[in-house]
Amino acid sequence: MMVQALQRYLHRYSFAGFGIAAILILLCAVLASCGSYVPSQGGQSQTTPTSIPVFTPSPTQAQQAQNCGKVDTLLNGQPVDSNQARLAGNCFWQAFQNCQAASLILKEHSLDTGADHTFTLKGTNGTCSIMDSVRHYIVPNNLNTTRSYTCSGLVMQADGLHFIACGSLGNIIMPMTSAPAS
Amino acid sequence: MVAPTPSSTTPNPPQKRLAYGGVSPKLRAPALRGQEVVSVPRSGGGNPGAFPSFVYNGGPVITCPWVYTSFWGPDWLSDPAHLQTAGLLSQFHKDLINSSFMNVLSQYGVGSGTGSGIFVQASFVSNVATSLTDAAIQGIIQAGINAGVYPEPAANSQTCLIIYLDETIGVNDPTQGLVLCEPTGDTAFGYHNFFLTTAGHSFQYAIIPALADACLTESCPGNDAGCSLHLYESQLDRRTQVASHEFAEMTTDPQLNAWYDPNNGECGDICNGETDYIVVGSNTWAVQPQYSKYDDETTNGAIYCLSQTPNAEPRLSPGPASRTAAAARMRQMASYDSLLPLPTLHFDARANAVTMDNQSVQDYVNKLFAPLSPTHLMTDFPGFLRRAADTLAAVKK
Repeated sequence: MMVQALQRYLHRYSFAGFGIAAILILLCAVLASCGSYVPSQGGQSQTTPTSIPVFTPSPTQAQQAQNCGKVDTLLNGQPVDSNQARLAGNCFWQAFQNCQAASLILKEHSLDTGADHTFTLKGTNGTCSIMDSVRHYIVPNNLNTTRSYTCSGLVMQADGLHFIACGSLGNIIMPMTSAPAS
Repeated sequence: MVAPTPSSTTPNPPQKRLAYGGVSPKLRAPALRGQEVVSVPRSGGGNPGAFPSFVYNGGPVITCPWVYTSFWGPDWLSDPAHLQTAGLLSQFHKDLINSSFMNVLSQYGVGSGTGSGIFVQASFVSNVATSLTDAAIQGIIQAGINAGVYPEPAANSQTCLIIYLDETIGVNDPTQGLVLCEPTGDTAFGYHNFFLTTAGHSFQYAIIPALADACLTESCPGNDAGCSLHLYESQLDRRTQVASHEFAEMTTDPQLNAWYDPNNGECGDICNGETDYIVVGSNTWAVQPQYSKYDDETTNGAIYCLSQTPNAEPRLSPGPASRTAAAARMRQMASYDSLLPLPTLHFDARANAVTMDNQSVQDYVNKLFAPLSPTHLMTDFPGFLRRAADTLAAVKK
């Protein structure tokens, strides 16, 4: 229905053939490169593939980065605020699917260490990239190093956003839900 | 898409040599006491292991830990179960030093294996605020030093103060990343740190909160599977597990510039959450395995978390240089067995008053003179001690 409506609209302006082709190419590119969110049985969901989308031309070079907010985690890795985590995760996921500039902060805690990740999504020269600038620290903040890594992909799963192959850090999960009680 | 390599780094602190004074017992040998800072050329070779970035960064390590336990909060003295636990925790630290746990730390220059170190004394501290900042903790330690509860460290500090908080006390210092066993927002289960005393010496301490069920439930609500501690563990096991983590880190990286990996932290952090048990005599203790770079390299990453090894691990190179004098000093520590631990002290942090535990003093004297008693040797032992104290005070002036 939507395509027919678009066809009617574009036909009215006498460039229906070119317009539909362009829209379909763009839609195919988005679906093929970003993957689609496919809920599966048991509440699990996954996306494929995980590679960074490639767009021509780059749609977001001149756009201002969207701030998707901050996700703080507990000592068991679960989000302090699940609602906030869902909003932030979905915001970044949407931005990723559209290759729009965005940022997201993830704060992780362990027994006496922590890591603050700042994920940045950028579209540059027709290519989307995810950068993780991570500050590792040992409480009380005496050891403090910051490094940046490029992640090779992003996957939305039931437990949250999975940042894939972020350098030597490997995969990083940004939790979006609290696990059920054990 | 892009090679996963760090695009920017914060360099490790520059290596430097610190000169410590003193007199060496060995002819024409430099004075070697306690923390040693030695720059050693880095060398390649060998397998990288799973954590090649875990390296020696030039700072001091504690070669022969002098361990003090200190129990903060009213529950330790008001509740018999807590008092018993305090005794067990002090015994844990005695046993830890005398266990094969120390064999893992020897590779980093901390002692030379089992028996490297001494347990000196326990103390109880009352009238502490229920919510502490790290600065407040350092203030109480400094007050304790001034009052004679804790020793003023030597220039080459070996002191390791392990502070156990009771259930009434938490740490709430979010600007430092420290929220421990507070009603909300916990960020850690323990930590170690150091500060310079007013006399200018480095004082190392570790904080072990109560780690009661309520603390765990708050920190890991709903599911503790992702936590490094678990509700199915006893509170004592949680405490000793965290204490072993902090003890290993405070000896191998007392000033946060010795052994660590900038991405993965110190030797305890890499194996965080693992539990193992050590047996010392009739006692079994829960501990956390520590990162062993030696095993990581020799197995090329297959094995790297160990709580104990049969023999002392060989010292790594580059690392703090092996010191004959330090090893000799550790062997001499056995001669202190009859003198240690010293009697327990009580410190009122509000009144700045120090007292000694009656029973602890009596037990200490009995142990010191066994199988005799002081009255077999002198008629007025307390008078003798008073005169000795007066004499020492006069000499000090």
